[in-house]
Amino acid sequence: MADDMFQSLADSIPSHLRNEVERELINGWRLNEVKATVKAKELASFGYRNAVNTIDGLGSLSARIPLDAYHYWGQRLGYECWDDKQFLNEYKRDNPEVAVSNYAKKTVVRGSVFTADGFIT
Amino acid sequence: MASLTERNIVSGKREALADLISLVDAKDTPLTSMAPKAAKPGNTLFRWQVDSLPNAVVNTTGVVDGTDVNVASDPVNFVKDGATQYRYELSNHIQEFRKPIRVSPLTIDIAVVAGVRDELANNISKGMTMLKRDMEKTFGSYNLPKADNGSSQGYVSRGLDSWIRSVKTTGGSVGNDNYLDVPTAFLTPTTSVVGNATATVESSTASSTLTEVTVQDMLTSIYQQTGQFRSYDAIVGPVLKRGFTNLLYTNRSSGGAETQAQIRTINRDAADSSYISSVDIFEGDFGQIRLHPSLWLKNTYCGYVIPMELLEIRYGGSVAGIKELTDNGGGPARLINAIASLCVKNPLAFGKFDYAS
Repeated sequence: MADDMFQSLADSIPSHLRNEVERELINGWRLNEVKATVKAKELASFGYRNAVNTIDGLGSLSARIPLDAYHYWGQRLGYECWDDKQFLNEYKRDNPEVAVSNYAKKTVVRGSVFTADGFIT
Repeated sequence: MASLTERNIVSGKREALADLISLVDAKDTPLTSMAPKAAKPGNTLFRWQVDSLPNAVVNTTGVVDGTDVNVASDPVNFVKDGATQYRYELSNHIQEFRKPIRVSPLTIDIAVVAGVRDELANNISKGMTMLKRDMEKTFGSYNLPKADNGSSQGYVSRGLDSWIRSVKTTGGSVGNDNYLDVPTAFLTPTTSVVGNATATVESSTASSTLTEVTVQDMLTSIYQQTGQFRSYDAIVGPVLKRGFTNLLYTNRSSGGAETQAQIRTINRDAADSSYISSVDIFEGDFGQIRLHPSLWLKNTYCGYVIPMELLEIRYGGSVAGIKELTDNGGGPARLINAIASLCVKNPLAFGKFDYAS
């Protein structure tokens, strides 16, 4: 991605400004990388404490991707990469913080369905 | 063999700035970043075709063996059959976006600002970010297409909100949608648009009315149009995204005569932040749906369900770039500009949460 980006810069920006603008963008991405890591840890913490329900029709929440990470890979590989199940599974495997696994449990007692909180649904 | 073919020409490709615009500020401007970039529009007004088929029918009579086709009455015309037209043209105007910047000599030579090595580079970087945000806000808006009148009005591209309408506006805050309008047959179905907008009044529906049934109905409606299970990107305002989060992390009882209606069993602390800026990926019956938060929609409550391959941003490559303006003593100046337009290939496959509060 970096090569493409710098080539674009080279095409678009006056030569004497290239280094400075490159530096600006590189620092921005590095900063975003750190922020994405922090965000992923926040998401993991939130997911650990909160069970998630399935929204009928919409489906199950499968992952919550930090914005920086989502667009980084989208720009690098094309946003179609997120349609690819294998890519998504590998991404969740390599970044377990973003995977959602804490689903609300339901208990059935003689035909009545109870939520994790003990309420009848 | 090192042949010089078009694909080998890396330097000087016209899409260069379009690529860069796509990259800049990507997480905050999901629409412009994710929409496929297409070749430049052929003109200030560009067109594309939308097509449909007649409804399928149950054949109860069959074909009598040995009978000939009646060439006068049997053949069907799939373009225009009597009063029924199946193929239409959609069109839109291009729009130019400009962001001029100038840095004064004193700023360059005298002022020392912490963290900024070169003010001109810094301003170009910020100018590109602002240009991108202007584009995002414009393409997500309810702008109607307008032609350049040579004095007070330049070309304006139809915005996403105006593309996804089930009712043509005839007045009110949006204006009269009677120029390059979407043919009635290709307006987004009423069932794919959540809200109560009319031809003259914008929707006033509250986002607090979002329920699972609302989402199901919209997705079912989109499925009825496309007949496909596919991936959708939903670009939503932060309040609507929080509405989805509330659906996820709370339960509502159906409420019978012996129970309180709408009991909520909350399995998280009320004090927790219910809005987290992430792309939420859902795996469901209708395929994958990804929720993207955006601050650049017409309000913070609305949202758009987009099959991304049916959306394009067409860049006018030959005039996109960073131009050096003359410095007559006031300091070096640059003009960052881009010409682009939003192309919705078929509004029937889209959906909208048209919430106003």
